[in-house]
Amino acid sequence: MPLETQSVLLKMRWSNGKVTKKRDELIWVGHLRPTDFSPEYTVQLRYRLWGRPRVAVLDPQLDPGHRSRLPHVYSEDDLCLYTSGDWNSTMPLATTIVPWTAEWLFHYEAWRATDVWSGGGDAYAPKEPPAEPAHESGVAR
Amino acid sequence: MASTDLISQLLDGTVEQLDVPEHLLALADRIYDDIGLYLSDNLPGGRDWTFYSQGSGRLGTGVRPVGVEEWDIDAVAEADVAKEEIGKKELKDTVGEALGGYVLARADDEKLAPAGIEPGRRCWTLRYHGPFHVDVLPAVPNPEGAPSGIWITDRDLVRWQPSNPKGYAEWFERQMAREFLERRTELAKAAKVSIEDIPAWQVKTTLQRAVQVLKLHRNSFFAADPHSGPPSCVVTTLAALAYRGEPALADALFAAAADMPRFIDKDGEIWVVENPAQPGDNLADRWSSRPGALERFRPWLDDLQSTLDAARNTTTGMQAVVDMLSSRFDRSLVTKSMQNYAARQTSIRDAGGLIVTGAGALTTSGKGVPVRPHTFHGD
Repeated sequence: MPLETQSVLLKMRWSNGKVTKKRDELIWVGHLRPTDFSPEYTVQLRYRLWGRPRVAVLDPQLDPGHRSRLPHVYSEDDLCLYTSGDWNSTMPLATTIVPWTAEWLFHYEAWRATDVWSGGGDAYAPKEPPAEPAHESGVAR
Repeated sequence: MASTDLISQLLDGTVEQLDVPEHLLALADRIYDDIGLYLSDNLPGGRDWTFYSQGSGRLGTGVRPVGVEEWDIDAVAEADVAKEEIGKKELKDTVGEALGGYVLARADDEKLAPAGIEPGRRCWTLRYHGPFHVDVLPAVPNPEGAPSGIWITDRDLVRWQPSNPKGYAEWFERQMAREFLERRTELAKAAKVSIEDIPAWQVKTTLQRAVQVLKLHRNSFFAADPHSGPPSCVVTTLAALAYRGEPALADALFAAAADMPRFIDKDGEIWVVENPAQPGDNLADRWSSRPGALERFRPWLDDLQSTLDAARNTTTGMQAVVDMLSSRFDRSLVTKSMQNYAARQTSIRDAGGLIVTGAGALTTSGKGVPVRPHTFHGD
């Protein structure tokens, strides 16, 4: 799916966000508030065509509380939102990565309260993120 | 309702952990039937006996003390004899002897055998091998009172006192009748059985949960001086009088905290909360004569209201809601409740029912983008 299409879908579904496009990279900055009791999180999604979408939370700063590290992140600015096979470049970021981010934020808050990750899977991300999706051979979409 | 939903669910999940487990409630039902039959078959003079549950077990509003894994079940052993024909001590002794016989008769029964029997001041306590005991209150019928009215003795076995636990339970059930029927019907549908096949104790209504939360909050607020707190019969009665049918637990609690004082009558210095099933019985009698107790009643309710308010107005995340509620309710219970709540959202997601609104809020109905299947962690 070309970046232009991804961009259009993001703007349509997430009207409180902004998309900027640089040559071969799309950057979406949006605002997600998973519950009525949550702050409004500013999140940034970076995606290069054929690459792996990377999501960071810009504000408020994520805080592991009394634990030493955050759950389900590859690094502080790279949330672990899915596992191999859940996502590929034919899927709209707007209907996959963005809702998964809202869900991640919900479970992050629950984890802060309970020390248990209730979103499925184990508490911490594997060391390696899933391999960058293989380049689709044939016609570009 | 949306803004109170998390709080309602957290509080519901908190007190749920203090419920008598279902297998014990089912066992208790069998015990009542069994003891009733035994008493009728074995008491001198061919008298009829009835044996039935009373108290918070009957009402479904019990909260066991946090950290104590033992449940307190209350029952009445009612002999069909006029109070003029039996002495107060004689009544107590007759019941005690009969229950003693029951303990021996059932000694080999795997499920129903009590471990022993102990006397109280006017009651008998049947101990069991499991984590519960049954307090049995001896009684005789009160033909001048309401249809199910009884006479019981006072703790010194000196005076007869009128009581009506059956009538009280029926009154309480009327305050929540509509929701009780709705929930029982839902359970029956889900289990594909008829309504009568769902035991009453399986149904939990908002009013029952509200009473449980009020009692738990009371235990915490008056922890340093438990006798100053309003007794459970006062809390239960006032909450039921104040209840206006609010479906959401948090709304019911806000309304209860605001309205419960309206249902207390004043008779000079004495506060009166008349037992709705027993005219003349002031449930607030002993409590209202304790020095300082009445002055703390309003602050208790204000504290509940301000705790719920603070929780409701939090905007720094669900962890802050848990923190606020944990300031008044046991943290391990609230935390476990949060865990269960979050796990339910994941189940809903796995079943394809989780949606994210345009503002990024998780919901299970209305407009938004469905959360597609995924796993946060790889293999």
